[in-house]
Amino acid sequence: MKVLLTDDSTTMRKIQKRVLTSMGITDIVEAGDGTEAIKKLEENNYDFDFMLCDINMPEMSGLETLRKIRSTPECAQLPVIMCTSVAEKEQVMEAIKAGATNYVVKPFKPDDLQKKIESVIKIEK
Amino acid sequence: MKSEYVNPFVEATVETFETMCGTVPKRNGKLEIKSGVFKTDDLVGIVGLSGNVCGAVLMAMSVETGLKSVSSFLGEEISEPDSDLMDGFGEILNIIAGAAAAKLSSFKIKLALPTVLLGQDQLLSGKQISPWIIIPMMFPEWGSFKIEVSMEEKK
Repeated sequence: MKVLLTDDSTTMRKIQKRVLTSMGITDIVEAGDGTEAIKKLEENNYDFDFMLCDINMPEMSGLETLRKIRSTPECAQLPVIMCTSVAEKEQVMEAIKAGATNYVVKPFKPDDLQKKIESVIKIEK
Repeated sequence: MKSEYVNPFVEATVETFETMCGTVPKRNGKLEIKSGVFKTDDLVGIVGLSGNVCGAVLMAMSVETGLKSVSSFLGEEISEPDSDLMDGFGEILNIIAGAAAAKLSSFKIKLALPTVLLGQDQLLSGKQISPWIIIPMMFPEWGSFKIEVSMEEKK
């Protein structure tokens, strides 16, 4: 299983990586913003099982990145879990409208993130 | 700034540290209101607030307390100020600001990206019209810190 992990915070990526690794997922590609994420998708021929994506990022925000992914035929169906620190209904609704598969709200416990990932993996299976 | 805006920031701070760092900070004394130029701690994070408000939220603590709290957040020991300390500190504040913004949803608050400053004898300036509310807080095991908020509704 191969994952694209996108967050501008290196510490948050380390935290999320630890959760993924504990689930046996070790093929993890990292990106620090949306622009880099799109580049990594292209470089890897869009070959990912799912993506974790922060919303509040510099350069290209998480929502812009998600819209770009959904409009790209090669990855339009890629499951994307959005991570938001603003648990506001409007932002969550905006992410879902933009095509988010699921979302996780910060602060989260490792278990919370694991459950969201499991739900996406289950759908994929 | 109205005093009822304080509780969402306190609740967000407690929830964030409890969930992400496994510790429950508590209020540590009375609120202070400050304007003009005043001294703050050595490790300072700031997130600008916009939307239907104008202002910022700031978290300040000693480097020692910062190292302990970010080590706990990250799940690995940081012993010296480095990029992990700065990044982790900013991310913790970003989460606090986001959780507080959700509690103050009627203002449709938008968050700027966090900025973290490290240095001795840092000074903060607040305008008389929009002073800083200083919320002293304390970790049970790592020492004290402050959440500072300056926020006005846009007219």
